[in-house]
Amino acid sequence: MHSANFYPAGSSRCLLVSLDFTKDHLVISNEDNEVLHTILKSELIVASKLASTNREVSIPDVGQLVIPTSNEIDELIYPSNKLQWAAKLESSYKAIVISLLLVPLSLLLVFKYGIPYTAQQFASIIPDSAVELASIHTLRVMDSSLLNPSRLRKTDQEAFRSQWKVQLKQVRLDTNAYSLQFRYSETLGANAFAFPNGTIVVTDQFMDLIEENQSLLHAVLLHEIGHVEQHHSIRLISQTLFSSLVIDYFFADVSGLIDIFSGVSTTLVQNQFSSQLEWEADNFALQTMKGANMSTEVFALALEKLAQTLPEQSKMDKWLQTHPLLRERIANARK
Amino acid sequence: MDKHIDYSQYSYEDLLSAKAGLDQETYPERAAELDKLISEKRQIAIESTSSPLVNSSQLRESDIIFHGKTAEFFGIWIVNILLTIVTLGIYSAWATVRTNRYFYSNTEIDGHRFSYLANPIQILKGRIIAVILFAVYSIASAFSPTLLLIFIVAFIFLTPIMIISAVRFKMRMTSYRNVKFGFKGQYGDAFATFILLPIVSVFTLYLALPWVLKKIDEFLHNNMTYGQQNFSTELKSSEYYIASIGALILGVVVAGLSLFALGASVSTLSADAAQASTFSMTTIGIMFGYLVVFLIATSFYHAHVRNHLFNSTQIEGVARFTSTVATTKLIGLRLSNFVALIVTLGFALPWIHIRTSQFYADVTQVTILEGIDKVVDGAQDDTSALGEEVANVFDVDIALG
Repeated sequence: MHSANFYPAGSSRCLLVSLDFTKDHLVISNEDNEVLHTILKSELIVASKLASTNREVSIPDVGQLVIPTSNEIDELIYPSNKLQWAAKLESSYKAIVISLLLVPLSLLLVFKYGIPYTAQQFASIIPDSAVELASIHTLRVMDSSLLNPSRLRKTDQEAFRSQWKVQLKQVRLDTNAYSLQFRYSETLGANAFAFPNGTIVVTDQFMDLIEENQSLLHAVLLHEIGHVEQHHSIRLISQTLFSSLVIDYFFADVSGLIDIFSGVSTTLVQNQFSSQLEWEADNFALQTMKGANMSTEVFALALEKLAQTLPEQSKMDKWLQTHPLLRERIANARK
Repeated sequence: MDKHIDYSQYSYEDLLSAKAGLDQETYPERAAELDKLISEKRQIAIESTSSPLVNSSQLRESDIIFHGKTAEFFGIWIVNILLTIVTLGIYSAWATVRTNRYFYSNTEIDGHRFSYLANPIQILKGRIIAVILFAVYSIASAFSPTLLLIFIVAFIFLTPIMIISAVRFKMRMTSYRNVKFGFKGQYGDAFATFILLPIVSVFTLYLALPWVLKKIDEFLHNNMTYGQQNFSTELKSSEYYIASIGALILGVVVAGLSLFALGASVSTLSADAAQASTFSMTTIGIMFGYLVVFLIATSFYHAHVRNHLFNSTQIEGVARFTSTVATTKLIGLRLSNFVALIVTLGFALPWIHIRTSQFYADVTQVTILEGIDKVVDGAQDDTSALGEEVANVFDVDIALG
C-alpha cells in the first residue's frame, strides 16, 4: 500500500488514493477502499527518476499520480534501473567529482583549442566569391562613411603601387592577389587595414606619419598581407561566433547577472584572440622579409612611428586591448 | 449491479467524479457514456461567456514552500554540464528539462507541486532553430551590411512571434494539479506592445517608457490562462513610474558615490607609481562598479514592480497573489550572489539558484479561492484538433539557453 495524490484527467480535482501493485497491474483505490481504476503497468508513463522529487506517473485519459518517493516505490515504478542512469549519475559522488574535474578542463580545451581550430577550418571552407562579395560591400560602406578620396596625387599613388609590385616579386608573392588603395580619413587617422580579398587600404595620414618612406610602407603592407594570407578576418568572425555560441549555450540561461558576464567574457576571449592574430601577422611579415634577405629593422621603425601616435599606449589595459603592447612587438621585430 | 445510471442530470463536476470513481474495465459502456457527456459539458463550459467561477469566495491562505536542496541540485547541475559538453551541446535539452523539473517539482502551493511537462526533443528543435538563426545572422552581418539590414527588418517582425511562442511554450509546459497553464496572446497585440510602443517611447525621450513596461506586463499577464480560467491584472502606471524613477535615482547616486571613491583611490595610487597594473585594476574596478550599480538599480525596480504585479493579479475564481519583496533584501541577495559567483569561479551557481528560488517562495503568498478544484483543463483557444496540431508545430522553446 502506497498513498499518492491522484488528479483525474480533465480538471483540477485531487483525490487521496492508495496504490497496490500486482504483477501486471496498478490498482488505484480511494479512501474508502473502493477500487477506482485497475491499469496495466505497461500503460503507465513514468517521468524519469529525478533526485528526491515526488514521482510523477501519468495515465493517458485517466489522470496523473504524484507519489512521495521511497525506495520501495522506486523499485515498483522503475523496473529497469539502467534506464535511470541520469539520476544515478547525478547522485553518485564519483560522477560528481569526475565532473568537477572534467568540466573546467574541457571548457579550457574548448576555448583554447576547439574553437580556434573550428574557426580555422570554417575559414578555409568559405568560398572565395563570398569573401570577394563581403570585402567589396564593406569597403563600399566604409567609403560612404569613414573614408574620403585620397588627397595624394594620382601619379604618386601609381608610383607607390608599382614599387610595391616590385617588392612583392622580390618576396615571391603573387602580384595580382593584392591591390593597394589610398584614402583620406580624419576619423581613422594613421591606419592601414586589409580586406579578406587582398585589398589593402592605407590612409593619407599614415603616409604622412611614415614620411612616405617606402620601406616602412612595405613592412606594414606585409603585415597586412599576413592577415589576408592567414584568413584572419574570417577566423575572427567565426571565432567570435563560436565562442559567443558556446558562452550563451552554457551560461546564458542562468540569470540576468550572467548576461553581463557573458558580454564581458566574450570581449575578453575575442581580444585575446585578436591579439594572437596581430602576432601571427607580425611574424608573417618578419619571416617573409628575412626570407628575402631584407632587414627587419624597418618593421620595428614602422611600429615605433605608430607608437608615437598613441601617447596613451602605456596607460591602456593590456587585457582589454586588441593590439599587443607595441613595445613587445618592436622587441620581437628586432630579435 | 448492471442497472442503468442516468447521468444526464449530472453536473460537469459530478461527471468527472463519476468517471474517476468508475472501474472502466468492468463498465466500458458507462465509461463511454460518461466520456461523451463530459465532452459535451466541457463544450458548454467553453462556450458560456461568463465563467461560473468568477464569484468564488476565499478559501484559505497558502505559503509557497520550496523543497530544493543545494547539495542535491549541485550533483544534477555539474553532471548535466559535463554531459552537455561531451555531447557537443545536444544533451543541454535534456539538462534543461531535468533542471526545470527539479525546480517545478520542488515548489509546493497548498499541498500540491508543479509539474514541468516539456519533452527534450521539443527543446532541442528550438535550440537548433535558434543556433541556425544566430549563425546566419552573425555571418550575414559580417559579410554584407545590406543583408544585415534585411535581417534586422525581418527580426523586428519575427520578435513578437518568438516572444509569443516562448511564453506560450513555457506556460503550456507547466501544470498544477494536472491542469495546464496557457497563453492566448496574439501577434497583432504583441507587435504593438513589443515593437510599436517602445519605438514611440523613443520619441517621448523615454518619458513614456515606464508606461510601455506596464503595457508589456499587462499584455503578458492578461493573456495567461490556468485551464479555462483567465488571469486578470490591472496595473497602475504610477507604480511603474515610481519604480523606474526610483531605480534611476538610486543608480545615479550609487554610481556618483563609487566614482568619487574610485577617483580618490586612483589619485593616491598614481601618486605612488604610475604603473600599468594600476590602470588595469582601475578598468576592472569600473566594470565591477558598473555591475554593482546595475544590480542595485534593477533590484529596486524589480522588487517594486513584482510586488505591484503580484498584488494586482488573480486567476479568476482560483487564486490571488501577494508579494512582499523588500528592496534591501533583494539587493543583499543579488550582491551576495554576485560575490559568491566570482569568488567560486561560477561553482556557486547551484546554490545561487536554490537560494534565489527560496527567497521568492518566502516572499510570496497565495490566496486560494473556492474554484480551485473546479478548474477545467484545456485552454479556450485550442479546443479544435486542428488548433492543437498547429499549436504543436510551434511548441518549441525558441531561446538560447
